[in-house]
Amino acid sequence: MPFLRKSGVFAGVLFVSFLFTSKAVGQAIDEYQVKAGFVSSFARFVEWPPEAFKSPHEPFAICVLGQNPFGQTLSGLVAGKALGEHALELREISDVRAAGGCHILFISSSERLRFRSILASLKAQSVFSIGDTNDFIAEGGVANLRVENGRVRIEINARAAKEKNLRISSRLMSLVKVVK
Amino acid sequence: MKNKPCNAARVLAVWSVLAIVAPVHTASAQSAAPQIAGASLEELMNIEVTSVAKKEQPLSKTGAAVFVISAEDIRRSGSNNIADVLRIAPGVEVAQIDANQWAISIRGFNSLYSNKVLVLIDGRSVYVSSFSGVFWDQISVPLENIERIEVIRGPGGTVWGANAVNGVINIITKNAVDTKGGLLSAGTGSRQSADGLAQYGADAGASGAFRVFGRYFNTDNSVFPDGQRAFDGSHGAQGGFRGDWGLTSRDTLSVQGDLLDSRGGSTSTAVFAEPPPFVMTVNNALANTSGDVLARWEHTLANGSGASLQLYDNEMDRSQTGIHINNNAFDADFEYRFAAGSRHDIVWGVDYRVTRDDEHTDTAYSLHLTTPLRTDNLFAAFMQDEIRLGKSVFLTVGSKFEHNGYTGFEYEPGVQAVWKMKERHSVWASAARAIRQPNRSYTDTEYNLAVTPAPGFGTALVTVSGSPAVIAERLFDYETGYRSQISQGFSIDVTAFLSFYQHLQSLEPGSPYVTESQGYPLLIVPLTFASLAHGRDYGAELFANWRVTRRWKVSPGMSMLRMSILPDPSGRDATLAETAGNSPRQQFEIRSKVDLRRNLELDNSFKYVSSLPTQNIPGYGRLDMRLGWRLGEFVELSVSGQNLTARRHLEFLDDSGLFLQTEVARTVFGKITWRF
Repeated sequence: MPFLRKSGVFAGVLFVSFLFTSKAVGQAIDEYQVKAGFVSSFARFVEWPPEAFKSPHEPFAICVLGQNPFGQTLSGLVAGKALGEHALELREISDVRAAGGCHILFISSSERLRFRSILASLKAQSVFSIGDTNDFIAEGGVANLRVENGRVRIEINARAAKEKNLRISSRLMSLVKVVK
Repeated sequence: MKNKPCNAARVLAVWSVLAIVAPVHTASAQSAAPQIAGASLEELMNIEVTSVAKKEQPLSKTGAAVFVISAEDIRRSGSNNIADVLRIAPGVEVAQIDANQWAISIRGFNSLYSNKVLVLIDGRSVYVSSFSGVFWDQISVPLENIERIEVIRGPGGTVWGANAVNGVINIITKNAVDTKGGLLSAGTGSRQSADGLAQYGADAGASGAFRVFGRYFNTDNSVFPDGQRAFDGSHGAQGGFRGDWGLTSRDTLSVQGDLLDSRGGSTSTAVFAEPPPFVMTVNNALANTSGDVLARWEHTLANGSGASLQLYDNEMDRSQTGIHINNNAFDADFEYRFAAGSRHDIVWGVDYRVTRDDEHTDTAYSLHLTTPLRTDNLFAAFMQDEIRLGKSVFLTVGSKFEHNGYTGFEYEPGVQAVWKMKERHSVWASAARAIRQPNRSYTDTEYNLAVTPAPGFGTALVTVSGSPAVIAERLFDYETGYRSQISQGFSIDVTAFLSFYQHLQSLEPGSPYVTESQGYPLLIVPLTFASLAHGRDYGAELFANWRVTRRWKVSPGMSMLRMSILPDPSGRDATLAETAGNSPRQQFEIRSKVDLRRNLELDNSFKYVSSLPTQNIPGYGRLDMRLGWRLGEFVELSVSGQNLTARRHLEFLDDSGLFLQTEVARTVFGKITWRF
């Protein structure tokens, strides 16, 4: 039975593969759940200039521009939370012109064709922009979330943050890869 | 005969057991995992994550049998042409005829230019409707630029129209914004002696990007079963571009174009017009120049509604055994989708296509067209409504309406129901009617099919004539399926189908008569194309994805097909029953992807294809392997081997005689890719 013999060869190959990698699947969770955790945490490690808030009780707005990849996770993490006097609020927007009151802006990869024009129009605003694509930092974004070897890593564009008068805590800076 | 219903019963039994057992194991994936809320930055950084490919998410709402070949699957397959890449998709029949020709089909009816599967590249049909089929040697998208290939098994006529009968293969290329930078790749191997790609992509304005590429390839001659070298190698060059722009925050524009020029050969068993002997085996040149240009504008509105307008033009100039084809197709397509109330998502569209087909035959050959030039207009419209019935049940109803130049008005309704039992866990069922429109080879073609000795008359010549009476082939298809992410690392997808065909094309014998050719008596046996056959197919497809360990993924799949094609009571085509024997009854595959080290990949796949009794081709197994090594961020080396278990095997016999079959050999291929 040549078919059986070939199957045997293949089974052997599979077994060798197993020996090489026999470390069980850990408790891995979806990348966007962890990224939502980062997006909702950054507020505590960044200081916005006073003019970013029009009133002492103005909500702290976390915005998602384009297709929301987080499902219900991000709204679940934001709901009922506050940053000092400012209640956290999640907004889903489809146009960068609606990003006026946003403090943190996650720009979905669905908008990647427009990154440069979006980031250019945010230039004068103190918005902490977050992306998760390869060239987000190079296009002028502030923070980028990348998956490397099964973990989420953060890249920060220090120059862009400085231009926007965003002060990033040293604790966050010590954990990230600083670009530029 | 006896065990046929038994097989169907077994499939149904397996299916229902899965449907009952699997929900118990379903993992929830939607709400935030408890370790996220309140986690410190350091804790978040230490959580191991999985990246769910974008492709997997919309599937749980799809009421059709879909398999997606990802860019990663393509890269790790080690294949260097699209036909071989399609072997990944369970249920697709891919069989190589010679070095450059393939027979590719889904759910039976496989042949060179099999006519019931629609093939699209970025929404542009490459199915040539004037002869009902795809010239696979002209489908030459650089594999590096493919984002994914969606393979739909079963009819897609409700949206895609005529000829999407047994399946749709949708090749989707990468957005130009995802291919910025330079790319150089060069490969060589025992079958493909040269394959090189040079590409450059960059920003185009503040919100756009473009890429341009050029490619050269050279495929060597293969070998006939008797060990003789065939005349079927080819070489060619192609170039192309794509640009994408976000014109406003609501509008995107995509423009692309390709040009391909290839030269090769084939060995044919050709039937000549005269004199005796009529049949000769000859080597022919095969030349092809083809080009296309496409523009698509998409407009989105805030509430999910939107419109798209797509225009394209395909031009092809091709010479092969005894025929020269010049074919042009221009297509304009508009689609609009909107939500009506909270329950209805409606999409409608209109389509216009004009095809100009100019075919000239070499007078030495018997093939002859009664009207060399034919221009056809196709007008089509469709509407589809996705209705939310309750929280987890979706019903999609719709139909396409078409007017074509051969059979006039046609309609292709379909209905799908999806019950999303849980997140990433659904059951679906569908019913649809689809058609394949006739083409000019069945209406205005005449040729000599075969020459046989006829006792008492000397020689008999079998002739074939087209007939304007040929009508559209019809399919009534019923399917059900189940797909589930059973646990974190294991997902499964099962489909069962039952298909009824009517008005299948047949060749009806007329009354033989005696004539004379150069003093010899000749018995003419005339055959005429008609639509006097029907059929019934059933089968099942099953595949799974299993992440065994963090660095090892195994994907098994299998498909089963039982075909029965018979003449109608008034039909007399005795060869129809053999149609079933051109497709394998069983296919089985298992693919394994291993990351040996962070930068070292080992990929294996084994595929078993059962015998093709009509062609006397025994079942065969293919073992393919690939070793890929990444040197830093920019350079990748790979070595792949295909058909490693046997030196050579046969896969398919082209009964038209256009391409004499050669053996598919064991091959190795090495490649270096440099991105900068």
